[in-house]
Amino acid sequence: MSAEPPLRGEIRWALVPYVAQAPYAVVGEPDATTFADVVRQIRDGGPRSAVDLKLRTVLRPVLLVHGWESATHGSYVVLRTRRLSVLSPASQAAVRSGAANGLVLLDGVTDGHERVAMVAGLARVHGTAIEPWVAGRVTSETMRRVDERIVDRLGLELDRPVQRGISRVLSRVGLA
Amino acid sequence: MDTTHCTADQVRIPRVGEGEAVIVTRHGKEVAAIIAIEDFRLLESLKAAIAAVSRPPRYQPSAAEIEAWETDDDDEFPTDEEFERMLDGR
Repeated sequence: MSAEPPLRGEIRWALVPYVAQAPYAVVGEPDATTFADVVRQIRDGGPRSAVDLKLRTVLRPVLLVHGWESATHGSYVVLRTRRLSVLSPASQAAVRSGAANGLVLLDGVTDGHERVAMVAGLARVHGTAIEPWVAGRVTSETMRRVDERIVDRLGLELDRPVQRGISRVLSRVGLA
Repeated sequence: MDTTHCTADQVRIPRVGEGEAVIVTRHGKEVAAIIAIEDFRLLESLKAAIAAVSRPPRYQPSAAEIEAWETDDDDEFPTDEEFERMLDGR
C-alpha cells in the first residue's frame, strides 16, 4: 500500500459527494424537502447552524487538481472523470481534437480506459476518502490544459496575475 | 498603444539595444523612455494579453460536455481486482 499523499496530476479512486440539493433529507429529523424546511429545522433545533444531510456519494476515479492538503479541512480539490467510451462517437472526436469545452482527455491512465476530466465537476474530497493506490498520473502538459479549462469554465479573471507576470518579464529585460 | 512613426533622420535619439532603456527627463522629471523595437513589440503583446484576459468570454458548454453530464453516472464500477485492492487497503 502506498502511503504517499495525493499529488497533483494523479488519478485515484475516491468517494465523491454530490452537491446537496432539494429535496433535502436531514439525518434524524422529519423529512425536509425545501431550503425553507431546513432553515426551519435549524431555527427550531436550538443554538446551532448546521444540520447533517444524507448525501449521495459516487465511487469514481478523480483527477487531483493540487497536491497540497487543505490545512483547515484535510481535503483536496479534484475533478470527476468519465470514461471516454460512454460518449457518442461525435463527442469522442470532439474531445480528441480538443474542441470539447469542459472536457480534457487524460493521458497516463493505467486501467485500460481512456478517460476525460470533467472541468465542471470540481469537488472537494477529504483525504480519508481517497484511495492510497494511484490509478494513473497525467503529464504536466495535460495539467496545464486542465488549468486553462478551469479558468475558462469558471470565468476567472487573470488580469492581475498576468500583470504580475508581465512585471517580472519587464524586470528581467530591465524595464521595471 | 498610440504610435507615431518617423525616420531616424527626423529625430536625434541615442542607440539602445534589446533589454536596454534610455530614460528622458525634462526639468528633472522622467517623461519618456527609449527602448529597442524588440522590447516595444514585447510590451505591445503583453498589453494585448492583459486586455484579452480582463474580459473572459462567456462560457459555452460543448455538446460533448453536456452529454458527459447527462450520461448515467451509475454505470461505472471498479473491477473485481480494484474492489479487492480498495477493500484490502493495498
